[in-house]
Amino acid sequence: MTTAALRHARYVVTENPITLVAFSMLLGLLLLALLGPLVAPYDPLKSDTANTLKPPSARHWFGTDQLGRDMLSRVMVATRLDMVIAFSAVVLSFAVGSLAGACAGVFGGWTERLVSRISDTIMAFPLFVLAMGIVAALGNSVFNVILATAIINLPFYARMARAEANVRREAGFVEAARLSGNSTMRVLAMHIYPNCLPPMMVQASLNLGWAMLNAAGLAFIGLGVRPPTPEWGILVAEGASFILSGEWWIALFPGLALMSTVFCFNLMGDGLRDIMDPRRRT
Amino acid sequence: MLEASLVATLLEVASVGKRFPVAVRGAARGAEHFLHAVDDVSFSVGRGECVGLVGESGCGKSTLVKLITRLLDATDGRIWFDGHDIGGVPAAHFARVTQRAQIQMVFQDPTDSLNPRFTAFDTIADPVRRLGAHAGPEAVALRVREVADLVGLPRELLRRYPHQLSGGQKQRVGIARAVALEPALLVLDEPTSALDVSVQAVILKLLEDLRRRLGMSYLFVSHDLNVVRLLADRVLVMYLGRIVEMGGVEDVFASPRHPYTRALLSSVPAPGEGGAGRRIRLTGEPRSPIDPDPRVCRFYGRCPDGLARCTEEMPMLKVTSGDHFAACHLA
Amino acid sequence: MRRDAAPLLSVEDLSVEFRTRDGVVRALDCVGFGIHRGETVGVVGESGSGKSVMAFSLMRILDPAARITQGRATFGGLDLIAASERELGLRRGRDLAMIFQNPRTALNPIRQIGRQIGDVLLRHAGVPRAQARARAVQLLVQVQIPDPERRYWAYPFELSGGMCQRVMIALALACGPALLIADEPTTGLDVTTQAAIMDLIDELALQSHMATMLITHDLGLAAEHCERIVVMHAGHVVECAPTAELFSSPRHTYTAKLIGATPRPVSSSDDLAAIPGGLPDLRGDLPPCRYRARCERYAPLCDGPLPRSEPVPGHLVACWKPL
Repeated sequence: MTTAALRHARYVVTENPITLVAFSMLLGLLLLALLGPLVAPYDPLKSDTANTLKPPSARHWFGTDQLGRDMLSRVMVATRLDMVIAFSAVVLSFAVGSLAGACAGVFGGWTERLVSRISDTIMAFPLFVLAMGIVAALGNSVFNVILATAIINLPFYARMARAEANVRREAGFVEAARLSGNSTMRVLAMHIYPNCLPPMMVQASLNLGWAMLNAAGLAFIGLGVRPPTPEWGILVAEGASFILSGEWWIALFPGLALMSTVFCFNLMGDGLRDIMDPRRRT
Repeated sequence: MLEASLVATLLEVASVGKRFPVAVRGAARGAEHFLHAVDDVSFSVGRGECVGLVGESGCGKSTLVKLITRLLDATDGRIWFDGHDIGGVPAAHFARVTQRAQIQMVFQDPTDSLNPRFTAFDTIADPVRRLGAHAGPEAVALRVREVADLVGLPRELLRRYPHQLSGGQKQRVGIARAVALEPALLVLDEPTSALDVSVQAVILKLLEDLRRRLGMSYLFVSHDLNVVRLLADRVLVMYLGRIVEMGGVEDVFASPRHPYTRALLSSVPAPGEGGAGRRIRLTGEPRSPIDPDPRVCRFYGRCPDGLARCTEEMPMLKVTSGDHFAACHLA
Repeated sequence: MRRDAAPLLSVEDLSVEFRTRDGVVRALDCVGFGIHRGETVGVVGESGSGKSVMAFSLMRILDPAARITQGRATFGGLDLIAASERELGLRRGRDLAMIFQNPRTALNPIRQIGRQIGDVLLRHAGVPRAQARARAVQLLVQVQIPDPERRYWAYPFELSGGMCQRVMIALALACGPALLIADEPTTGLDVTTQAAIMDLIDELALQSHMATMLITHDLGLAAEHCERIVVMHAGHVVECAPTAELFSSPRHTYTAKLIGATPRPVSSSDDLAAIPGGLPDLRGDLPPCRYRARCERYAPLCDGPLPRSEPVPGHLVACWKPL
């Protein structure tokens, strides 16, 4: 990124307090994802049978679970896995979906029909059920969770990209690009595609939240990530059975973590778009 | 006849037509309907000449412009440029042909015609990089700066994005991009209609100046008859896809022979000439361009005059005097 | 003579500001002029001169970020600026009507045009429901829409730009207003359609002795249809005079330059004068005369407060050194 772009990024982030909050939270989450296992006070996998089901205290800020494992450590370490799944799924989905959509929007004809029919097929299913089906069919692994989440999110990007490309296709600068000797592929790659991106950045950010909830949901019902690997969905699932008996902290803290992360991603949407869009640069 | 005229003529358009298939509500299945955007258009542009093209919305001038600049393929007719049959090359492949650099366009809306993610420099450099014979980024940068000076664009504005430039500055960038390769034919599609009057004057002067300096031919499309009168040597008047009148600009404006041209000229605001009194009123709506009857004059029905002959025989362009042509049985 | 009677609309010292993220934009500064009954006045200026802002202030339909900081607009005894929404509601649409630039977007796209006219009649003219349709069709005839009985049921997207503008005129004229504000009514329309629309407005105005405020950037258009012209620049009124006089002897440099920059039937491009510089930035500190930076007649005395002089009766100019 050029210095001007960095300066603009800094301007956008500092100018709007909400964006600032969102980015600070994101920074915190990313640090936690990177350093989680190092800063966690206890080993998240180590059970301590003497200290089971203890409520939050000075020693265990988030309490302990049924095996005596420190909840704070488990929640902190789970950040990495959840973030990896969410980001990978969205990046994959965004890359494939936006390219397919842009090509469909520009070329029309069979390309568009193919992309549209595939999107329609995916969207015909209740998306979570489809994700369940994909993971069940391909096997329980982190990669398959990422793949399933990416697949169910493809139609959104494809549709947005197709609509944006359709609009841009008629724009004066696209005609000018063709007059300047750009081949159709170059026009698509250099002129149309980059202009489709800014509106899709908000979508991508909201998607991060959904992807995370998807992964957590799948883990909650036992698909994808398996215990004892700490993951917020699994933690909530484990804690769910203890709510009625009064041990509220086991489900609450992972749930809060999930909620605040999704919240942060949603707030980030506008800020990201402002950075990407040169029209906002002054 | 063609051989002799090819020497002086830069652009020769012969019986060019463009039809678009359309779906018509309530029509029988399988029946094909076509919208005749451009129909049997023939004209030429000489070297160093400025030809004006006037007509209102729906007359087909935008489509004609796309055909000439090879952004679209014609359904009928031939287009010759500098002796080469460019109509034969499909639009999708035209980017690789040598003539691509020789036919360029200035667009109407300066905001729409610049890529919002490209700086002014990138925009002007694009054709130079793609079609120019320049080797290396320094040569490209040098050429961009040269062209910027030529169009009066201050060099420090080259680093800016379109949203940081005024309307007039953006249009200069568009003009710079178009003339960067010194094309022989420059098509100008309403280049000043989106600009304020004060800026318009500057841009028009620039365009005239550039034409003289670079020896370009212009095809100047405009709805503003006063502007066309200023710049053009000859003028073409289009209506519903056909040319209805053609000739020297002063000649056509002083003695229009086609009723549509007369109505058009009478509609131009001219202070002090007793407005509504001299107005030629056109009744009704224009005829449909979908599957028009080839025997009926397109202007019949709205025309203040009209004979039975106008519904039996399509009027063709015929000489009325010198090089002044009109397509009307009554001309 | 009209001139002796009190003006129908009298605008005095109107100033409007916009709060934006980059500062306060002083869009209008002490704008004042008058329109008499039955008169057609043109408000001419380039984009950014504040003409639309002024019209929107009179109708009180400005953007929420705008603030009218001072001024009076007396219309038939009521101060439009100070009036409450209720008082305004009684006048707007009935005695004071407006038509806008883009007719297609100004009409409700999902409601038939005949019904939209009916809405105005029911709301403002107190026409009984049973007669609304007949009255609406009558209005369509008046604005010369062919086949009015059938077009009553048409949606805006089925009509051409010119027809939509006629519908908008019908909407505006439904209650026989005393003043019609036309904000760039023909920009974007073909030349022949433009001429037809303007002739229609002239005819209807003459029939009902209605005053018209024609806002346009096209000096030629204003010259052909207006009796008096108000020239605006950067939120100021710089000159106001009867049309013929404005063209034969403009008193403000900007007016003269505008006239010089407009292509006329007999001129060459060498005659076209360009106006140097651009509109001043309306944020921040502005000199009393906003044309100062672009004016070649500038003298130190121009730094004083902007005068409003009347060198010839009926011809106002805001300049220390009028031509």
